[in-house]
Amino acid sequence: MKPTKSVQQRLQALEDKRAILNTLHAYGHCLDYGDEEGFMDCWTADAVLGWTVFAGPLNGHDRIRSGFRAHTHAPDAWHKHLLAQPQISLHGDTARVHSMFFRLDPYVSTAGPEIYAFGRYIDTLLRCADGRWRFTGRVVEKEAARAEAPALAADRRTSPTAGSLTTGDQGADHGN
Amino acid sequence: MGIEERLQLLEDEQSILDTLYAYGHGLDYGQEDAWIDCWTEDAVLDWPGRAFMRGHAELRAGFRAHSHAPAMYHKHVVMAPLISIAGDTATVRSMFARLDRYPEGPGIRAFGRYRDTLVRCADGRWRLKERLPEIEAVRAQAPLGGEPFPDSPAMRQALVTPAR
Repeated sequence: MKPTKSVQQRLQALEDKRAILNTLHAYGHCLDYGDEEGFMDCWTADAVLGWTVFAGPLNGHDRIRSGFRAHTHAPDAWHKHLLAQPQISLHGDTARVHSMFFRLDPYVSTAGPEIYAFGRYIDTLLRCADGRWRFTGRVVEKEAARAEAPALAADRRTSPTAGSLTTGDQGADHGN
Repeated sequence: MGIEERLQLLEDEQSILDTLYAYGHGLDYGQEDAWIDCWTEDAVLDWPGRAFMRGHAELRAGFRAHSHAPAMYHKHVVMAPLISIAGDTATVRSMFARLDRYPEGPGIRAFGRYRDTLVRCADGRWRLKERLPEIEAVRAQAPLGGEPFPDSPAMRQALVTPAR
C-alpha cells in the first residue's frame, strides 16, 4: 500500500516514537540511579502516577517527587526497572503506551539476583511546548511479586523521606 | 538508497516490531482478535512438542487453549530482534523469555529463540507467515495456576522412561 502521508509526517511519527521511548527508558534509569531531576522531567506538572505501594495516586510534581524520594536508589539498593514491548499509539500531541515491565533485585535467600515483580505499564504522554514527550499518567499494574524483601531495601519501605505519603494496604509490597 | 527508501526501511522495521510486540501482549492479555491479526491466513506456528498449527482456525483454537490474564498472569518477553528485510519479506531472529508466577514469586519459566518469517500484506501491515520457536531451557515446576510444559526435560524423561 502506498503511503499517503508526506515524508515529513512519516519522519515525525518515527521521531515521536523514538522520543517517547527515551522518556520510558529515562523513568527506569533515573529511578534506579537516583537522578531526581531527570525523573521529574519525565512528568507534566499535573501528571498522575499510580504506584501500588502507596494508598492513592501521586498527583502532581510535589507528590511524585515525594514518591521518588521514598523509593530506593543506587548505591543504597541496586535494582533494575526493565521495560519491554512498548505498544505506542500516536494521536497528534498525545500518545498511549502499553508496555511490560519486570524488576530485578538482589536477594539474601538465593544469594543472587531474582525477578522481584512483573506487570504492565499503562501510560499516557503529551508532547510538551519544548518538544519533549512527558507522562501525563502512568498506571502500574503489578501482576506478580516476590514476598521476600530485596536485600538492602527491606528497611526503606517506610522511609522518613516519604513525608506525608501513606503506604497502601498491600501486605508484602516492597516497592514499585 | 534515496530518502524515501531509507524512511521506508525504518517504517518497515517499526511495523515488524509492532507485530512482534502484539503477539506477546495479545497472548498474555487474551486479546484474541489482535493476536489473530498478527498472522497471514495461511500462517504456520510450530512449537516443539505441540500440535502443529496452520491457518487462522487452528491458530485461534491454539490461542483459546492457552492461558491469559486475569485467569493466569505471565509475560512473553521478546528481546534483541535481528530483522532482515528483502522487499516484502522479512526474516527475524529474536530471543524470548517467559515469566510466570511461582509460590516464592516471579520466575523464568522458559527461554529460547523465535525464528520468524513475516510478509508485507496488502493493507501495508507486516504479519507473521511462519514462527518456528526453539525452546532451549524450561523450568520443570508448574507455575501457579498452570501445568508443566509438555516438552520440559522432566516430561521428555518421563516419556523415555515409562513409570513402572
